[in-house]
Amino acid sequence: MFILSQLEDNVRIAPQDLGKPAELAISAALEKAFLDRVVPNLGLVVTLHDILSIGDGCVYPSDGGAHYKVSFRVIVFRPFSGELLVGKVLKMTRDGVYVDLGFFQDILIAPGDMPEPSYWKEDDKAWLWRMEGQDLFFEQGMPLRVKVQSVDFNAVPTLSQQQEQADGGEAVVGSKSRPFVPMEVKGRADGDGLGMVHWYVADDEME
Amino acid sequence: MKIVEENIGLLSNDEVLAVLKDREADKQPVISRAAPSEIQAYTALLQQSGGSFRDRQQLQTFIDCLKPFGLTHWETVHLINHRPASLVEVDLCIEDCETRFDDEQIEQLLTLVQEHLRNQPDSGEQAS
Repeated sequence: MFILSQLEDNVRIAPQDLGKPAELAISAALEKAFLDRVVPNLGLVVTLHDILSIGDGCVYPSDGGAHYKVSFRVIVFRPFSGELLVGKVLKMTRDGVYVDLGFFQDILIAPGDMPEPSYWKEDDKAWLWRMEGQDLFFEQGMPLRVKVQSVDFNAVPTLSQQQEQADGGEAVVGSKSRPFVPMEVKGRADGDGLGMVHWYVADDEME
Repeated sequence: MKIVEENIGLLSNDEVLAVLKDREADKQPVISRAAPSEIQAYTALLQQSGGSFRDRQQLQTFIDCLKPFGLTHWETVHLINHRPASLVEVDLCIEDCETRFDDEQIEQLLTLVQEHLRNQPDSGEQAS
């Protein structure tokens, strides 16, 4: 789930923070810039692990702040293909089941990746798996196991792309109805042991 | 911003929990110096790992016991993160489990997991 990555960045310390010890001021600036943000093609930065080196501070004309070149390590959430994840059902729509890991909520199980055969029940607004005549429901808020199929990173939409979408009549990426998702994980629940955790507990008890 | 090295190594949930604890993510949001997102990650991971996490020493003994099985690095991390209790769960953690190991070896694996990863001081009940 998590990997350790080494990054390098230029950090600007504002003039009012120059009185603080360098490591504290730089950690604060790094935390503000990186924590809970997705680095494109890397993953979601969970926390700062440590700072490896801080370069000499540079001062530029008409800027009172000092610029440091910092090399540091971060813990990144980056599931790999084939990894097992355990989360809770966030919500269910026609597009599939959304899985919530607590700190990450953009995992989607598409209808094609659900155990065969699965049906969408409109009245309960839930997905269910019909196995041997029994209807097993995906329940909101309950734990489930999912295997990762792929991790996709989306680029920030440009103004022209958003204009095209607005003109075309579809929901604009970045609006409330279609929020921008920087990191999308596609999961599958069609396999032995995958799906809601309580489906398998019941089986063991019956035997 | 430059990515110097994308993947220095895989981290198990327990190791991430230890780092977050160092950052005071287990304290109340008001007095903690950790960001709210780190506290959220800490609570979520702690819940998933059953309320407690093991330190590097305990994990190292477990990893050493696993040497004869010849598992890949990420399979070991899977076992540490998910602590499988049944055959079905072990099959999810390790690829091609049935073809690579016979029943006896899988039993051994389950016992090792039970011994090192599941025996917590406060949980008296055993998973039957």
